[in-house]
Amino acid sequence: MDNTFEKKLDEQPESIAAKLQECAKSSDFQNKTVHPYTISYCKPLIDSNFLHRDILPYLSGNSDVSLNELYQSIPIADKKLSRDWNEIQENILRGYVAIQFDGQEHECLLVHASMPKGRDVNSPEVEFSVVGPKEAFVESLDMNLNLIRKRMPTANLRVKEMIVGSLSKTRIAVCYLESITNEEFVNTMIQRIEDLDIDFMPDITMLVQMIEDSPNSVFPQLIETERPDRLTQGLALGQVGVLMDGSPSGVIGPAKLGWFLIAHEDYYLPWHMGSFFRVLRHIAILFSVLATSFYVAILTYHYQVIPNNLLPTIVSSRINIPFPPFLEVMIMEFSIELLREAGARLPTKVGQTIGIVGGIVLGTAAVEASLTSNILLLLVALSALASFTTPIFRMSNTIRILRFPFIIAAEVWGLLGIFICGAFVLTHLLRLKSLGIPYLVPYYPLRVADLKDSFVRLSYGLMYKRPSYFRTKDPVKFHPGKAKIKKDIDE
Amino acid sequence: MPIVIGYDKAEQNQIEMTVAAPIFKEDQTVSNKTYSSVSHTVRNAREKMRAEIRKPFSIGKLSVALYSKDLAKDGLVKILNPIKRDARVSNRCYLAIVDGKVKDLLESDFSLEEEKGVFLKELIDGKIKVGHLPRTNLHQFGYALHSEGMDPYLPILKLHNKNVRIAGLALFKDDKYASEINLDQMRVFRLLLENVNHGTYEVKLDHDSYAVVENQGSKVRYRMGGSSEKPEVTIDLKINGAITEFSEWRLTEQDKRKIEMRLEEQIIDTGKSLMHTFQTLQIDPLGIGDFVRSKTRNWNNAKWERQYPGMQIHIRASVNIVESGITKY
Repeated sequence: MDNTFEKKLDEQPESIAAKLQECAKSSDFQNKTVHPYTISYCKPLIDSNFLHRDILPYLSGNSDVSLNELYQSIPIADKKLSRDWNEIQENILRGYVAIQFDGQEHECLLVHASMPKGRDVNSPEVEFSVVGPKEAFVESLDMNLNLIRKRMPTANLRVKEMIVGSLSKTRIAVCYLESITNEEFVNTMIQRIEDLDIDFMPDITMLVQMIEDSPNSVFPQLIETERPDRLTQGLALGQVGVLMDGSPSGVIGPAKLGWFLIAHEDYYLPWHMGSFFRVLRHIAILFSVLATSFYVAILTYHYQVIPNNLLPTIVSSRINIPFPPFLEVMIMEFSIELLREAGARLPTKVGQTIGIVGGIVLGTAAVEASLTSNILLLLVALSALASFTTPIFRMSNTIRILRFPFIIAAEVWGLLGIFICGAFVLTHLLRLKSLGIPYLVPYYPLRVADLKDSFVRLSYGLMYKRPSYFRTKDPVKFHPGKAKIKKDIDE
Repeated sequence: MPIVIGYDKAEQNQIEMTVAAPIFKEDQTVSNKTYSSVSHTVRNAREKMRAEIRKPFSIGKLSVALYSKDLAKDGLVKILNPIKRDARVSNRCYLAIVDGKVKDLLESDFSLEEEKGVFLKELIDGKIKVGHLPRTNLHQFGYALHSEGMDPYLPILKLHNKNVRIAGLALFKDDKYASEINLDQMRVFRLLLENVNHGTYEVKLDHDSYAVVENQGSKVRYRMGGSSEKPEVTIDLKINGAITEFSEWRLTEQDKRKIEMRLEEQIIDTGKSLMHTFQTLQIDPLGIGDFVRSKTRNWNNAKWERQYPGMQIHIRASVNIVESGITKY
């Protein structure tokens, strides 16, 4: 509200009509006279059909009625009378139509006529799942809140809206369940958002980077998700959700490391399969981070651990390569990162071509040009593949980055280097917090009861309590004793 | 990067070290080139060898270490020392005695396809897993060497018509070669030493007919009797066997009883003669002393050494034929 345009107006106090005339210098701003009324609106923001069909006929049919009477009678729910220029200006910029009555220079009737804009709800693309709901958040906050409310028709669900950004005036909504969520999390989240001082906020990912506990960590501390089902389930467990207008993803926190390795689909599959995929994903992540650094360490320092029968294969595949293992790995990792980056920047159709070119042509060519060994090619390709199994995009990028310090440490100190580097990462993870809860929970501090939903996912009957680390007001989801035993039809 | 290293006795109390260095080729095949050097100490011989070898000499993949019988007669401790000291050498490395000159064995072309070290390793490995060679490796050799009432043993390799074969088991008195037993004795020796669940035994019946019994699982138990002044040990052996070959047309129940009996007799006879040899030579590869020590308070090694040669050691064997194949006869 403190832009120069407005300040200038403040200096010369004028009637609202004059101010609105002033605004019309911007060509998308319209002032129209429907005698005895003057209507003002910002053309791109309003639904002109609505204006022509519902507002204009009503005005011409009720001439010479004062604003107060009009306010009483106009058949539109979202309307208000205002004398405050700031409020009028703000609402016009949100898609309201301001109606003035000739002679009432200091008052305006504001009628909501904004156009429902933005794209329709689509299926999730980043966190795709085979089973489960196929809805993803869109750029409209109201639509997103609608998606959440639909899944949780309870008065318990509280939404607190805030405005952030002196230029963007972005609406941010913090949602939580009043009777469940620990107030500490809600207050922390709200406070961090309120304390932000920023001009422009294009996306929620930017917000996350600003409100995280440790913005300098490579590990994400709040979950960004585009799945309303994931967000609502988070709310039900006692997490706080944040949505932002103009951003097609929501954020949930507090988060632990484990949540980033969980695809929400795990909850939709029977627990055996869900557990299996989770274990698989954990192994894949370890493999992705460590495979190439182990290659470097073993080939540079610890050839003893190679089994006798594998030795000829490895040695003969590396026999023509002029580089030490470290350079070999760096070349390969660099090219695969290049491929991935190129694939991400290009349009989908071309991206596929890049994948094929990269996978087949570059791989074989690199081996034939004896720049790398077959085994390394396999390792690098597998570890790239493994890093894609991480469901949260930011986490998969973390894993992508994380392997480079490991490779360097392996080159310098061998296996010892890998362990030193691992110790550093572990220490960092131990110190990390998300909205104040430890990042490695339930492994450290150990919460045995919460291991049911960690690297495995046991059956729902066992998970009748909310995770203890969320310190919810109501720790129990349902009472297992009251659950009815399914009876056989013969009994 | 040698997988097999051999040691021979050289003049003036020196050691000749022979290394079969693997040479990896582009088509994933491996060949060997042997290098030798002579010195008083093992590490110095290795150092001398460096002058000839282009690539760095690294001991980490050592899987088989060979010692000539002459060297073993003088004692192995001196030569084993650097291997035992080196953290890079696996404790699962195999040690073996060579009947003849190690250098000749390593220089001959006994292995057509594989690397020589891998070949020898797999030879010993296979004989332990499905053959009659008792478990042995660097760790067990060291354990038997250093514990009281136990003496080590090692397999003997012999070059025979350009083939390497296991020729028996070398028995040690402390670290010095004392005697050896042949393959047939080795079978029984293994039965008496540890639980086995593989291996075949040939049984000779009266009238020039033979049966072959396959071991389906044998259990050996040592029991102690007598007094602490005059201990007695009974070795109880139970074998479940299956008849896999019989030279007669029909196999009757009587035949089965007879085969059981004969096999028992054979095992007891061989076992007794083995024990006799061990006691006369005052060696204890079965670790009977170690067993007695575990049952005795105030163990006195010197006293045991005096008791051992004259001690009563009984062997009881019971063979149980549980299976005779799918034919009715």
